[in-house]
Amino acid sequence: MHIKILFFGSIGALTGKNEMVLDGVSGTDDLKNHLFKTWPDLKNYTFRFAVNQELIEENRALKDGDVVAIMPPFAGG
Amino acid sequence: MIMLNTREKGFYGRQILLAEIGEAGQEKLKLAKVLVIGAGGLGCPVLTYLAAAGVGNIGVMDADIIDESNLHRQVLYGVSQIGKPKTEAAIERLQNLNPHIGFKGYFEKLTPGNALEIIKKYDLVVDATDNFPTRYLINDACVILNKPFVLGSIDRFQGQVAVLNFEDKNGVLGPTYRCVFPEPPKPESAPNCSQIGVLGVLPGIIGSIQANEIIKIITGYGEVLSGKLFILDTALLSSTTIKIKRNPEMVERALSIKKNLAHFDYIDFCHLKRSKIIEIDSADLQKKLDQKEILQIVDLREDSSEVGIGGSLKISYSKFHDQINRIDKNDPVLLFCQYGIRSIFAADVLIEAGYKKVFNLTGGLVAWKNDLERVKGNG
Repeated sequence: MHIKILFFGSIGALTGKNEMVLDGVSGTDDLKNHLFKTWPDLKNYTFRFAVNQELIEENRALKDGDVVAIMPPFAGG
Repeated sequence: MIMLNTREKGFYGRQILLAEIGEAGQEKLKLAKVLVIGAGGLGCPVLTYLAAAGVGNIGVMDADIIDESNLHRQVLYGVSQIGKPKTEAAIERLQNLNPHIGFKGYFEKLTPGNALEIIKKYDLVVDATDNFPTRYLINDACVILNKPFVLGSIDRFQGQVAVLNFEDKNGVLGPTYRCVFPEPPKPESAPNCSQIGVLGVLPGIIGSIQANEIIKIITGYGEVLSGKLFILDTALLSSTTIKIKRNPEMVERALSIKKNLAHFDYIDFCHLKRSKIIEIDSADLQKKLDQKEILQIVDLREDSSEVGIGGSLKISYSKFHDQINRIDKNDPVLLFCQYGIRSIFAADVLIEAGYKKVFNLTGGLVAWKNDLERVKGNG
């Protein structure tokens, strides 16, 4: 099972990646824990998950081929 | 119906040719009232294209003065205007670009105290700011007043755009900023351009997209970017559009602030609270000088050839960070610059560094000299 993760803004800067592919995450809560383990600083960030280009409100089960965008607010102008 | 005169028909000829605009669309633009909050990186392209397209009444709001470091992205301004208020320089240029429209400048910050009074005079608002306290304030004021607003924001090589609190043709209201981001981030996790840098072309593109949305809302062509958050990555030149929904709980949260908006502390809400800068006016400063109070007066002007305030320490704003140790931490400090704006930023630096008593001369040297003249005149 491949889930594509897209990182935006300051979170892209934190992870040093625009995107990555993950196996074996069952849902967005699971994904969040996985990301926090890899990048503990991420806990200090504010962000929303969008699954297949739709902002989600609560945990969403993930299936093969899903694309998850991790979207923080941007400050600049 | 407001008619276009012959000169206006000539000026807008190329866009009137578009069937989707036509004379009817041009008249709608002429009647429209748009407030652009922020005349910086995003504000410059927004203002340029709204003015050129013929938006008839444009409010320009910014409390900043032009700095050399602005020019690579704030392309409305030039080197000869460094030190001038952005509102004044922008309106001068835009009025020259299009003499058929009107402007109102607001050389001040949007605050919980003035937001409703100012925003209610406009049909549409553009969020071209660079900080979260103002973004949440714009959101809440627009939700309270039932006005749509166009968000633009940037981070490194990426930008976000959305048309928020927009009522569609069926009377259905779209999401707000709080529906997408209910809580502001910690400041260190979402830095702004002055901290992480920016290439001028990014706000140029994002601001142009904001202007395009405004023109679409006014004239009715195309599809408004409501219910969607558009993200552009200029490094990869790729874009993503995310569906977003109105969240009644978040709308209610904004509406619940209505009664107390003037006293709602957005700085604190956005985790930016620090010990406070003390604003003082010319009369208070004169009193302190007369009573020979201990006070370190710091002149922040880059060019101090014009007479300042006697006995002041000269540390130009651009060298302020490096020379902060010339100021004694234990004694009160008064900062002044030309207009009293940059001195606020410098005061922030001092407070962060642990200085306990930091005064800002309200209105800067300009206000001080005007007050001196007045006192002389009365005497």
